[in-house]
Amino acid sequence: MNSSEIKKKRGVSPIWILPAIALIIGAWLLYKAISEAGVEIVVHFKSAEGITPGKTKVIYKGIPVGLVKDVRVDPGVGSVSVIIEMDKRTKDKLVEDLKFWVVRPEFSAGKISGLDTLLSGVYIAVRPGTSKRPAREFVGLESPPPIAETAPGLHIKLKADALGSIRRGSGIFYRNIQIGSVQEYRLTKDQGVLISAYIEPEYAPLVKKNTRFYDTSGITVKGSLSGIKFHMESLSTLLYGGVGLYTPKGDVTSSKPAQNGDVFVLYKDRDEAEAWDTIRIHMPSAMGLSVGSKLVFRGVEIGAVSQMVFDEKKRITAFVQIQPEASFIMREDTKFWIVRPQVSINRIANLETVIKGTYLTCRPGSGGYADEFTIQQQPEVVEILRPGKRFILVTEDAESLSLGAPVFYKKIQVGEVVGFDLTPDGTRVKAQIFVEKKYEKLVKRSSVFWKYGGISVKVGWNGLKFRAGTMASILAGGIAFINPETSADKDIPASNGTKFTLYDSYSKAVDEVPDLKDRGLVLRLRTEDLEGISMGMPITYKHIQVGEVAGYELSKDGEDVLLEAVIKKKFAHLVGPDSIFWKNSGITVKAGLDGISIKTGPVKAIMAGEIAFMNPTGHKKAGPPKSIYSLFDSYEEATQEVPVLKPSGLHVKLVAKDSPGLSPGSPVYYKRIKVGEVTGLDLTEDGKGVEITVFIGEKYRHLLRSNSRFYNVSGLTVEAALGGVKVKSTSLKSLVTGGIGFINHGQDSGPPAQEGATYTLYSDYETALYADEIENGIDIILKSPTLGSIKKGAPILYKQIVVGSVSGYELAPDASEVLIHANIRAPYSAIVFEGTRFWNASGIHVRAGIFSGVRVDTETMETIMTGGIAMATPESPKERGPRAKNGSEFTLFPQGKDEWKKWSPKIDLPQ
Amino acid sequence: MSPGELPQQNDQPLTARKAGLILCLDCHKVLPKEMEGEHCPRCGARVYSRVPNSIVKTWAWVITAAILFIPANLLPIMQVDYLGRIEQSTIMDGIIYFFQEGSYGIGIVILTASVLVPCFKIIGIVLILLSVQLHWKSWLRHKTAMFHFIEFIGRWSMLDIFVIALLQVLVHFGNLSNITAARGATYFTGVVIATMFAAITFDVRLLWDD
Repeated sequence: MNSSEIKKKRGVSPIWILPAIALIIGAWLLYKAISEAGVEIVVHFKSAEGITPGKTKVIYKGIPVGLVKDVRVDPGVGSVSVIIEMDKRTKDKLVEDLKFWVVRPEFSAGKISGLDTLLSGVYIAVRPGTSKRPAREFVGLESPPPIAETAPGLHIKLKADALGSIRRGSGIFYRNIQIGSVQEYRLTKDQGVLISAYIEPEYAPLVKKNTRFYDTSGITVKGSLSGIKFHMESLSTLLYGGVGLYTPKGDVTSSKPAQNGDVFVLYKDRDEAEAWDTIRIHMPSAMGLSVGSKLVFRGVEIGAVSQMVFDEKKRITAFVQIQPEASFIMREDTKFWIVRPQVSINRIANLETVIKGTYLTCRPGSGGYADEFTIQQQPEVVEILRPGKRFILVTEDAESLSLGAPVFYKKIQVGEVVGFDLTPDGTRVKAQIFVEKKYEKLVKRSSVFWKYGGISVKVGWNGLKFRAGTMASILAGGIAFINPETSADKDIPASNGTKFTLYDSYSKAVDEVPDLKDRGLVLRLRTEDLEGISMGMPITYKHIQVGEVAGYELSKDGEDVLLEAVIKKKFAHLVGPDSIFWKNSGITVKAGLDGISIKTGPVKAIMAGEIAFMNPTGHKKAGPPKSIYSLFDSYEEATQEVPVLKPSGLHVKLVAKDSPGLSPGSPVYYKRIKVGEVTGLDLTEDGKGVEITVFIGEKYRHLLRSNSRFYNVSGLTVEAALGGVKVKSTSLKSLVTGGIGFINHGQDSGPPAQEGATYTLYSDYETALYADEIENGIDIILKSPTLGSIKKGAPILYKQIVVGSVSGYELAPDASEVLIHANIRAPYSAIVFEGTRFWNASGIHVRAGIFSGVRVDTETMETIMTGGIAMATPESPKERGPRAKNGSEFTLFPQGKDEWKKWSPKIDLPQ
Repeated sequence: MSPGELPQQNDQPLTARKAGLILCLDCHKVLPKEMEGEHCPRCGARVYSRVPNSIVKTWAWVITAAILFIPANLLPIMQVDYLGRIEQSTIMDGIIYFFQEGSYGIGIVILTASVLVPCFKIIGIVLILLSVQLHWKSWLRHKTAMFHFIEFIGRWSMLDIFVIALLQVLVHFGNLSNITAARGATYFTGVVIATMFAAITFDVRLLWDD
């Protein structure tokens, strides 16, 4: 073997490609790792709670830009260093004023944020800086940083006395739309709070130099005699605080827009923000004013007392804040005075102030600007700016009249009382009234004025409307006038300033003015309250208007109201001494399950109501009219009270153990036709039962016999059959209101019922029908370990025929079992022997076996529904024993045996 | 040395090679030395006294495995999306997770199958290769046993990959939760395959050659 011939190829084996590829991959991975390696920065936080190295990300606008690599405790400083590897691409952005903060889930009242961190864990948010100087070490913030002053939008400062519930992130709302937010706050040197706020750029133009900011947080409850004001912005501001803003009207366009850095005052609430200027009013004493008392001008609130202090002369100075819209009152000649309730024995005035509280009012004057005034002791006569005429009414006293009291012509308010004065001799009162131009021609030289009212009633002009502003006039009464048709001066309009006599009431006016006597008959109607009554309300007879209400006053004893009614002369003869008057207040709606019946009078009556009258006997009785009639609330009430109108019929009494859902008005049926109704319910004398008075109409009284039986038809009857279940109720109405039916037993109906006869009320139809049979039947006791689904009234079935019913149940004296009392009615009681078996037939018994198949045992469908007891009597006399007696005791088996069901003894039933 | 010659020294045991014999590795027929490189007359497989280029090939596979072992362990092997939260974990993350959770059994299984075994395989084969090339003649019996062990457990290193493959198929709930294999899995598969090939290409008889 020649070794020189052996030449081994010493080339590189191709297998080395594998490690080469592996190396290339490794090198590539390495390169990638190095080239992608981020920039390591350090952020110092107070706490690293929730930050996990390798997990916690730095997120900017939802994109991860970094990852926490490590967390270390800074030596000694009490903070932690979070080492973060930032994405390489952010390298240029890592500048000094970069802001880092930790986003954690926040659940605070009104705000839930950072929900995403619940699952992903906390993350570090970052906001880019604007600086150019790079940095690698930062101080992290505890909460999101305020928006940078340089960010687009409006950066303003709000000065407040206290922070309230405003906090970082509280919204700034304009018409409930958030336009910005509170960024920061700090205490100022003068103990105030300076709040930095940011308004989004698109809303920045809404903020003007004179815009007012106010705290909308929480609920504002302002209570005073005139009502409670309850104000709340949105729920979120309630919980999270908020700032509202408002630019006074008229300044919206004229004012310049606010600029960055402008400082505004943050008012406590909108009212304060809206207040414009403060005027000072000097007064010798507070005279009922207090902080919060209103300044009212022509019924409109234009300001409020904000402060009351003593001045150097020990007088009182009230500071009143005035709304900007009302700045016109700040003139030298403006007069201020106080309106407060004046209650004395013969005079009640300004009743509205009892409700509203004492208030300030004013009469604007002219002259130069002024903000300091002295209170006027006497109220000024209110100047009326509207066109119209003034008249003077002279009266004995101004009782029941007040400023603003309405003046009515027919039913329309045509003017108001504008001032009072004494006559020169001081004995009488001159009331100045103002009648609007539209109505001024109605006042003739012959017009007769009288007072009405002066009592507290709840009516509007027509009984339809409630106007807070006119409450006072209703409270204070008013003045009415008419023009007598027969007067010579009836066509001559009265000139401005004409004097009239003001009579105390219409009847007094009638006494004094002869012309009025021709107008008609004046009646007085006594009613308990004025509900639904208004001036000028028509009085009708057979729906034809024959008169109207001319006034009202309290009766002398003060308990009733006396209405003055005028019946036109040509109808006066219709009123007789026994005429009956009632209120016909438009619509009567009676709703029941059997339908809704709406009864209306004439349209006019629907709108304003009316008073109707009738003569019960159909024609007027001879004799002069009475001076005072009773006014009934409704026709129904009148018929109850007036014996002549009472419907005729028969009244009988029913005695029952209790009143099963009956009430007066519950119907009484005969063959499901309503023939009467329950008129009264009362306890019997011994208190053990209920006595029900039933009225049967005249038409049906012959149906009721002395042996009729009454039964309760309230509630539902459930009838079950194979074809389904029928739920029966005599009428839906009786289901709700209860009802009574009666039957006449047998052919022989007995003598007709007598007025006042007493009957028994049976619990149901069956009981009533079989009352005699039940009486003649036997009462037995069934013993059962449990009650099962047996109920009172459950049927006892013999060959599926109802022969009796369960009358009750109780626990045995030793509580070991249940005693079910049952009644087997005659003649079926003859079937029951001592050996008779009873078993529970309630429900369905299903027995299933592999060989026997399925067997379903039921008695009747009815027993499935209501429960029931079946019975069987053995055929052999030996087994059945003697006949059962009252009080016989039996065992109630849970189930019947098949053999029992086959028993068919022949028993003669007594007829 | 000619075939049929008896060994000269007693401390040098007679081997088939010395005796001029070749064993067909497929059907275990003993053939004369002259058949080297030819086909076995019984089963038709090529017969060699020693697998040609075995050392070089094994070295190549082992080095490949060693290089791939680095990214396989450093890169995430599995990615879990849980309610939109993406979490990638390397093999060691998983092991640490199980240990922290107290599931030491599973942790040990994964640690063994995914880290210790590949490591052991690479180091073991390198050791054997070095023994052959540097003629380390001690512990030959143990080294042989070790090699057979390496051959046997090679397939079990795929456990991790199986687990990931299974999870990827099973945990597939849309936005709720998803598991996918991450880049590291590829490299890890490479490691396992390379070590298996390294074990296959190595002719364990070389250990015993002088």
